[in-house]
Amino acid sequence: MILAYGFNINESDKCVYTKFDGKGNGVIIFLYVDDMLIFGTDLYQVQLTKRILSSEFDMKDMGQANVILGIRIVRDDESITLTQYHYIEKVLKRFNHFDCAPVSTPLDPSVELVKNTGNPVSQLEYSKLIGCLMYAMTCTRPDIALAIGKLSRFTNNPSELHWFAIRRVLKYFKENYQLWLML
Amino acid sequence: MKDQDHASTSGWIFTLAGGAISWASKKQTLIASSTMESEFIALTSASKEGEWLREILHEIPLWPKPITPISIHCDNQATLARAYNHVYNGKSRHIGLRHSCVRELITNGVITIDYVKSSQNLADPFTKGLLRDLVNKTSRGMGLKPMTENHQ
Repeated sequence: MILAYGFNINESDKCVYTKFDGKGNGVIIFLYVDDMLIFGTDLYQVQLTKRILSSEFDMKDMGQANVILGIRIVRDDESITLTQYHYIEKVLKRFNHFDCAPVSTPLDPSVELVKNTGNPVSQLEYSKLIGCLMYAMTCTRPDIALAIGKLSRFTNNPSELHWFAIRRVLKYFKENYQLWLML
Repeated sequence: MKDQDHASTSGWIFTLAGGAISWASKKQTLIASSTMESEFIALTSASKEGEWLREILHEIPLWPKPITPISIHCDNQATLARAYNHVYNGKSRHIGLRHSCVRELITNGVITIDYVKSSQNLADPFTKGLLRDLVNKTSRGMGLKPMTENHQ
């Protein structure tokens, strides 16, 4: 559909479309289900694209992007910061760890995580928490990747030991970081 | 890092403009018989991701061309030597396959592989639990920075 307006599809990632004129001005469009980001070399290009797209689709212009898929975008002169602190805050509150004492590492290397041979402990709650943390991990928090990778192996039968380890990740989250891209 | 079942964990991260853009920490699906082999398995999956990222950049018209090879840092000298040596005298096919795969990407100028000390390796937190100082150091290296008031 979009291709008819002279956009080129990025063959490596089919949700990315580009359109550039000979002088190097143009736009890049990113699609995610029903969300869209338009990135242009200048404002005129962006507005032109919006006009084309809104003539075809029913869409709402949210102006400059502040939040996409729950990730907040903060700009200043030299950098772009992606942050999920408000999401992480929500998770901490939901799992009653908002007032916990922070720790400085996500995983205690001296604790060996072994398979639970007994009955699962709050299995549903555990898998919900894994899901929440995994979302943060894939978006802006590479620092907890290993901890989540290990803990998620026990989602079907978590023991107190695993709960202890996952609570540590929540405590680690009290020391908030945000992902920062320097441009 | 080895688990009880002797499977290692692969970890890699790519940064662009000082920030992390792609990362993974994954338990390996095959058993490696040496450190070099398990590093090679990780190197192969990192190389493939690197190739894909390079393709994406290639189709962004604003990106300056030609694109230089993506530098992959590896903290194991044996793996490095093996990657730049076109002979593989190992006995197992599954490693030989990965060796050829990495070799091809190097030959085509898609990636280069450089040595990095373990203590400087940004991918270390993906494969083992680290102590506080290293967690802080690697997080900074990934472009994670502590929250500041003005961003609230």
